Amino acid sequence: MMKRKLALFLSAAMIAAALSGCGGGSSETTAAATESQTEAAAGETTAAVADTEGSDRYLVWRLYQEPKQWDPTNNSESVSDAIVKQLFEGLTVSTADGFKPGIAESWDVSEDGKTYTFHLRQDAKWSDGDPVTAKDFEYSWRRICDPSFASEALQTMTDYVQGAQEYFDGTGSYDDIKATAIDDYTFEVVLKNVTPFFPQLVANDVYLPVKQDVVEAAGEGWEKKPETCVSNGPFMLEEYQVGSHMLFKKNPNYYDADAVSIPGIKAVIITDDNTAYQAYQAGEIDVMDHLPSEQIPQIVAEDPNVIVSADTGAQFLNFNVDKAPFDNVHVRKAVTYAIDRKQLVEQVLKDGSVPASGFIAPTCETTEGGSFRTMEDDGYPAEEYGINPRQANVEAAQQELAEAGYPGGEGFPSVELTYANSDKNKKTCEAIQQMLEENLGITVTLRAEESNVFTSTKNNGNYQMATGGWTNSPYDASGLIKLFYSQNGNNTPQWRWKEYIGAPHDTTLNPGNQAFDEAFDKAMASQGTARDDAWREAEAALMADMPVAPLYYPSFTALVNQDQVENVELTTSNSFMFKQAVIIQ
Amino acid sequence: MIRYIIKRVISAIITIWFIMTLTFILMKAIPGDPFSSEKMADPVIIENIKAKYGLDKPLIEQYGKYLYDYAHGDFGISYMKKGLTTNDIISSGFPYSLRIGIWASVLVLVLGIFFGIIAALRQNKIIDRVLMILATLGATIPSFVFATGFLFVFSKILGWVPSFGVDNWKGYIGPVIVSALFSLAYVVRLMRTSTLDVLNQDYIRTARAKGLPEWKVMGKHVMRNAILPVVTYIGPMFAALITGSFVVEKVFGIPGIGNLFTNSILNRDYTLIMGITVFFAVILVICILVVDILYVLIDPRIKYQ
Repeated sequence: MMKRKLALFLSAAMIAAALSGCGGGSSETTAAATESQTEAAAGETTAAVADTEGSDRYLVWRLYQEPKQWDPTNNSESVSDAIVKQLFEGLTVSTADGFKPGIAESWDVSEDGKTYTFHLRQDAKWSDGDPVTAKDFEYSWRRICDPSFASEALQTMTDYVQGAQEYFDGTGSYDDIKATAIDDYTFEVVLKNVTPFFPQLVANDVYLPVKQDVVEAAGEGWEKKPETCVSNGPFMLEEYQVGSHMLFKKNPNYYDADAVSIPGIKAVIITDDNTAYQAYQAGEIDVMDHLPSEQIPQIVAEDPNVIVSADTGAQFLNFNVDKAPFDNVHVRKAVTYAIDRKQLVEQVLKDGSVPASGFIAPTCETTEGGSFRTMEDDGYPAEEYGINPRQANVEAAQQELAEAGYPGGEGFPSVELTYANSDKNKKTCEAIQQMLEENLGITVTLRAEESNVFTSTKNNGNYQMATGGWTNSPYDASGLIKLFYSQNGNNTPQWRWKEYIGAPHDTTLNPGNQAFDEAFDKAMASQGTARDDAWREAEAALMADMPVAPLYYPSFTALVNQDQVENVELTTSNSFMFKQAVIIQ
Repeated sequence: MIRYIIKRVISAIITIWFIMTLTFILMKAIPGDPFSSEKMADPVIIENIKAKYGLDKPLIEQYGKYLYDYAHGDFGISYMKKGLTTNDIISSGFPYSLRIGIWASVLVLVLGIFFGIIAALRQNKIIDRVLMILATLGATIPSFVFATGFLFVFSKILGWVPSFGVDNWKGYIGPVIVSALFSLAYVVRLMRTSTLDVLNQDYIRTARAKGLPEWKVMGKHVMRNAILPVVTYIGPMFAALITGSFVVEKVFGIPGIGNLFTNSILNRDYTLIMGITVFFAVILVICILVVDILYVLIDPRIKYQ
């Protein structure tokens, strides 16, 4: 008797305490909690209804992390990029066959290559029924330059559009930002430099329009509420549950709504790669990327639904050129030559990555549409800059090390290789550690850091060797090679011939970087093959001084359950578009 | 009683202030900030964003602002989830963790006390041995192993439960069981030990000698005394369970507060770190206070001091 009473009393008291505890902060908290629970319940019903109707269900798409935001004008992460592209449409759109006209039907380029005039289609509408006009683009692009808005995407304007930097700095006026609505359906942009890939660039998330009246009325976070998230793309926001999922439903006002056959998308946030993969195997998820790294080799080898595609980017090893022993170019070259890239890609990663020779990725296009790299029959690039992608160049490596004063690795200090903690990075670094030990006789210790700490370690130059990687969505060399410009905060090797305001710690100057800067400036000012040649010159300057050792060109792997969905489009920049997707079951 | 509670509340406020200060110092001491990313933006942009959120001010001023805002019930806006307040985020994540925590606690108490007594009554018999082996396993095998194993068997092979999320009640089964295991293992051992201890006391012998029926001996004399150590453990345990486990929530794909908290630290989302820490601290303080009061009700030898 006593026991039962006691247990009852205990549990009642505890629950009461907990409930009053969660309402303790303020009464608003409790109210909000109830509200979100109701919302969640509503979401469950929708999903349940969709499930029973078979092919009319929502497509289930896994997000690997929760997006900070998906306001196009403030975007900086890849997970929200993919969301933005379902909800909004820009002047051009990225597709599986390259970019195509979107809201802009056509465009003209001035003779000097700097003025673009976009002609907008007149039937485009916002999800609330209002027409999409050039004014919307003018507002959105100029909004990014507003210092009080503090957009993380600022550089996407200031790097390209005339007057953007001046307005941000306070030296120019709002009206002098050269992104102007000439009339409702003509949008003119004047660029700082010749930018042949500009029409391709404006398909990127940050150049997509937002609707001024709703954005200004709702303020920050407008895109997170279905009632204020007005968009102009194939889908519109139906529900957002923090940390759990988003529902996007078909936008009936989208100009090409007839092409959209699915009723909507359920984007589920699952941070654990293994859990997501199990859910895919159980048929609960239709589309996912960020596969569990230890299972990628098996998935690539066995699953017919796997997609392996080249990413435009490079993975590399940073050498801190300001710190011994890597302040010696011969040491940097010795390490670069001593790595067996083919073994790294085929035995360690096994995910379709391609061993590297130079820094510019093979997918980067020249003005004529060719590649910057000469590819051989095995799909790997030809040997360049003394780097053989197929094997380690042990002899040359040992010779460089001897030239640096450490014949046979004798007297060489133990060096540290730092990486951002993950399974994949760990395996890669262990392989490199072993190669350097075997081929050069030097001792490498490994240090793993949490990724945010690692970023600050790299940017501040507090390391000897560190892993690095960069990917870029337009197929232009500038997006990759700009890393090593002296005036760039992402110049992690600290390879600068003059000081940079963003890196006050970097006071050791490296004259080798000057030739690179000059070639870079030349490329930015020229057109056509002269521009391509200048990029090659910049790469040659980089590889002559070797502040980084290119390792491989990464691949993108994803799973689309072909038994359940069809026509899921993977754009050339490796993001998914669900506009034309069809649900089979 | 009232005086006792007032005293405890004041000491709780001091505790929370202390926790806030410590959290503030620690979170500013770790390298990195909410706006540093792999693709580093222009320093001017970073400075501008920091200015917008007041992160360019001297630390002591930022600290003062935190205390002032918290005293006024304003937990601030998340840096990483733009446009959402800390209150929004906590109130969206907490209900999931609370539900899992309550059910896990019920499981721990009911099964833990029951099996603890069984093991004590059958000391050194087969059932006791088996229970103790299970308890050792439960306490030593990490929860991600249990969680992954559970999903493998019940979701992948048998298909009984969904592989992620809590869209229906089935989704709660795995998280509740896995969350409960460690505490369950501990409570079984605790209950067994204290029951054995009580069973050897003179007053039990007296009670039996008086001819009291066995159920009355167990219910009135053994249970009431043996349960005291468990009651002490309930407070912190309940607080820990309802604040969510990062591992369990990550593996089972639950949008709970444990997951949010870990991610807020990884993202250096200062306001959210502070908000959730204070929220956890308040829960813990309340749970302990309630247990202390319960203690007095159960054990008449203890008086309010």
